[in-house]
Amino acid sequence: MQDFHFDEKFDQFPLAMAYVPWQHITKVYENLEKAYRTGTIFPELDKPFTGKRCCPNVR
Amino acid sequence: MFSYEKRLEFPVKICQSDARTAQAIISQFGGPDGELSASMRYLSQRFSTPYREVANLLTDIGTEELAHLEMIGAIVYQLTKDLSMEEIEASGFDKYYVDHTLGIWPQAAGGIPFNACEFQCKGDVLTDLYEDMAADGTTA
Amino acid sequence: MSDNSKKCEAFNTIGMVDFLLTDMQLYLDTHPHDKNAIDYYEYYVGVKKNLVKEYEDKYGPITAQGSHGDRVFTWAEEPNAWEGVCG
Repeated sequence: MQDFHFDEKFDQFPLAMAYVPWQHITKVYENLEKAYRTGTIFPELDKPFTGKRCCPNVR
Repeated sequence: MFSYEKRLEFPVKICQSDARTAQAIISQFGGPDGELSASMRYLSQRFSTPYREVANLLTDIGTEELAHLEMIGAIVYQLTKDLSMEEIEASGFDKYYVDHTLGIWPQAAGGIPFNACEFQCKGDVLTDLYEDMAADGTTA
Repeated sequence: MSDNSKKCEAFNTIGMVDFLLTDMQLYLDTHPHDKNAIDYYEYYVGVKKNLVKEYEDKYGPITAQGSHGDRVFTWAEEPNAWEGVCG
């Protein structure tokens, strides 16, 4: 997965636009049942619903 | 063109009736952030999308959302199919029941019928993608 | 294992494999040159085909055009997906 910190690059991004980072696969879940239960084969997309807001600055 | 496999994307097997839960979950069926809204959003937007890989992505996502719609319908169906009249009256489900009995009718939990105002298809690819992020991002 | 639980295990395995394909398909839509992803996808397409053939020969069709081994069109008679037969 591309490794960058939000505050390092974001000041170069034009204002007033929304951005979606590009996905780069590093691996997929090898345990197929776990992937099925989780709802994705991609660990980087494994974002369980916790019922509350998560941290705004992801590192 | 759509083909159909007679199975749910993920199994649903509910053995315990629950009218209150069904009343909330029906929003995921026919409500503004629900699966019918999601599938119609993507399947409508794809026609005017100028980039083929994006249009095809919208087709594939919209198709999967229909599979989600089916799962939610199964959930509401299984939660309500064995309800007694006493449970229906006590839970407030009677307001839905009087018009639909145990039928699964796309509406939001608050009663608003599913309608196309629940999504937008603006014909501009960036605007439509913002709409998609707003809709699906809220579920994250 | 009872007959029904063998049937359900086979059925749910198809769902699990198809889910991997669905997820990888979405990735491939926007990353069409990722050879590793394509290899993964095609491998599991093959796995799913075999699983579906085995299941349909024994238990009946999953798609309307799937196997109807007994020359009886059982498509409309099989339990529907929402009936919760295989949980």
